Amino acid sequence: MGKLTIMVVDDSSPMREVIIKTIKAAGYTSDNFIQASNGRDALDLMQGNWIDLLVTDYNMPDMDGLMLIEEMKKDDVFSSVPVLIITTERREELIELFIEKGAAGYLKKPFRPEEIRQKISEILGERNFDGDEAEDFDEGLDF
Amino acid sequence: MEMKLKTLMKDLISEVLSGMFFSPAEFSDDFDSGEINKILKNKDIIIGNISVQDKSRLDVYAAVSFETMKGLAKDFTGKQDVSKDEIEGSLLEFLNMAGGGILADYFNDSTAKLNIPVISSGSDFLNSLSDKKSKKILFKCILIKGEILFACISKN
Repeated sequence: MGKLTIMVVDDSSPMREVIIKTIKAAGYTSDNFIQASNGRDALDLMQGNWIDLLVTDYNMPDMDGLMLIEEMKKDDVFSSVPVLIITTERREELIELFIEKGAAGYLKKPFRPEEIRQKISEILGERNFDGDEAEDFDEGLDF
Repeated sequence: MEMKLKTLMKDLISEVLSGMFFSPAEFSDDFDSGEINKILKNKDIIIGNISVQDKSRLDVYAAVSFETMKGLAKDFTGKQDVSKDEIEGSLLEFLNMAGGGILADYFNDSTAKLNIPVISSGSDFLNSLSDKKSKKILFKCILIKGEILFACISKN
């Protein structure tokens, strides 16, 4: 099983850390997390890096998550990278727009750790999940 | 309207604090302007603000002592030690999550926009509170680690 490269895009540095910690605790054996604070930085960091999954916030300065997806879809390589949006937005019309523009999944903040695992599993499949490394969600995360 | 918004805010704040900060919360409406002044005189206070812009504007302020927010930031990030930026960032993300719920559940207009949360000064907060044309909702959230004062200010 290969290691995943996951890019986490959020203007909040503590939230990026929470997302990374939660993904690790969910048993996804990525040692390679790339962090960006907005869509424009994410596009710059993608150059020369293969990304297996991009997890992004929606509401960010400079370039938001929706604009990031739109830019990725214009590129032959980046258009195939699955995107999971994790956002405070709950409005149905916006969630529909995320999916219409090409997001592979959507998760609302605040989220429960098992919701991240389920969403990533839906997007990447169980092959990337290492159950031995997953923490017991019933016990709660060691945050 | 004010009661609906206050109830919604308390529900959202509870959800965020328990789900992401692992901190159960209780609420109290029982305080006066003297208590606000006392809170704001504390030099170690940290104030965050998020606004929803529609035809009108709704500002949500959260004022909390630095030490209380430091404890919450540690729980949020899972780190033993947190920097000033991480403490402020945790407060802003907290407001962002609560603000997203207000936008979705309170505003029916799909053109309403949630602005990026910011750290505010005490004088900004007091100026907003003293604006007689605005409507205000005030309450405090009581945690094991301390208290957070919330003010919701709406302007047409």
